[in-house]
Amino acid sequence: MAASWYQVTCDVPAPLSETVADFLSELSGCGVCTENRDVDSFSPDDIPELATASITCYFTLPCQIEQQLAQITGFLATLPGYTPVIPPQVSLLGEEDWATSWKAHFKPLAIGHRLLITPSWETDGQDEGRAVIVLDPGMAFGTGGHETTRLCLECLESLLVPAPADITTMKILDLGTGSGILAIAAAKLGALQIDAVDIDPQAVIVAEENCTLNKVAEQISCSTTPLEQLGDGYQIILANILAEELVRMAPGIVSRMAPGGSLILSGILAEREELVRNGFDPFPLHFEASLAAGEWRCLHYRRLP
Amino acid sequence: MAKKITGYIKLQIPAGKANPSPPIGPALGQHGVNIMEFCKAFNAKTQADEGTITPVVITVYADRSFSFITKTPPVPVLIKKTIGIESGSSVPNKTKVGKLTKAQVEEIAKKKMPDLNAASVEAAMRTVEGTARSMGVDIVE
Repeated sequence: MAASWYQVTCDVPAPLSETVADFLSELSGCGVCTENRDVDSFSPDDIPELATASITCYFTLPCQIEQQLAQITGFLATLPGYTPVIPPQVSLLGEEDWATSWKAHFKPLAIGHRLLITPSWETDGQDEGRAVIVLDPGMAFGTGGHETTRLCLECLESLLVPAPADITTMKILDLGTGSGILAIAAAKLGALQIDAVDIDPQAVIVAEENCTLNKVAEQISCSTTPLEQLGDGYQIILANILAEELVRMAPGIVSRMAPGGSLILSGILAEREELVRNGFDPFPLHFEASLAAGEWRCLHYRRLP
Repeated sequence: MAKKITGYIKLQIPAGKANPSPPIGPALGQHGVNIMEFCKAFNAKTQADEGTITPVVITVYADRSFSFITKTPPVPVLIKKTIGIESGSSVPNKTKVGKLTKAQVEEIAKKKMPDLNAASVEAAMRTVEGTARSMGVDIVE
């Protein structure tokens, strides 16, 4: 691959990052990246600030990179509080079709015995008789590529395949729907009355788009309706949220279940399973199973008649 | 949904003009994020300020879905806009390119307060003054 860009990275103390970012933005004529890292967290608030900012800018080839570097080094040297630990790092970057190369991360994904999740650009493949969910990754969680979603889908499939006699009148609730993937799966497996709710309006927009894309918009009602304003009598409730939230919402969730109905709880880290089990213990539920995938657990309960 | 965060990206890019070229393409591509979806959403959100350098923080989740928030323009951009200059000085300790009054410093500090880790307006003003000096902009009464 022919090189098309010089990539220049400057490590500077965090308080100088805006000034340096502004200088590099002007010099390169395009924007800059001021931070890019892998993390392992559940909240942006828990991600620690860095003392040093790595600011990266790009220059299109051909260019006189030595001159640009001289300007950068000269500018940095004038900044109060800047002590160069390492000089600006330069590397070559090849031209790549970034508009489409990310798609390599998303392939059709068979789940359980009856479901296949596929991005829209891969719909020509064999579905082997599976119910196909077309889903493009974007701004809502639930692409099917995560254990929490997969466990939920497998548990849902075990309830709807073979189809129960009352599947056409069965009420299903997908609480914290994200991309709508669980609700869409329920519809693809034959359910006709599904409520998909999320507190995030952006997720609801995405879920509605995905319902339309999958031609199940008539079976699924997407909204931001809070749990306490929802009706009751749900034969299946799916909640792929975090453990603490599940426990907090336990009374509201259980009171909306129909007698004999199923509750599928996911988004639970292995070390939080006990917390969730204890949180749901006081309610009239029968514990059916705990499904495991990696560090994640999915719990299945049935409401006592 | 149980959203575990796996990637954290900060960019400063022109409002309304995001495209898959660097710096966006390499930064988001590394995490397998739908780049065109980000560009479309960012441009829609920032089109009113087209061209203004805008900080954006992108959070990538375990299944490669993402969310983003935009912030107020960086302090150097606000300083340049306030005193009507195109660029800061490339030798700020020698060549001065403008002056910023204390009142203007306060105005910028108040605008940036939501995004600065400053305990008070006074602390935010000191940050703004420091940035101004590093651009070759003097502070005057």
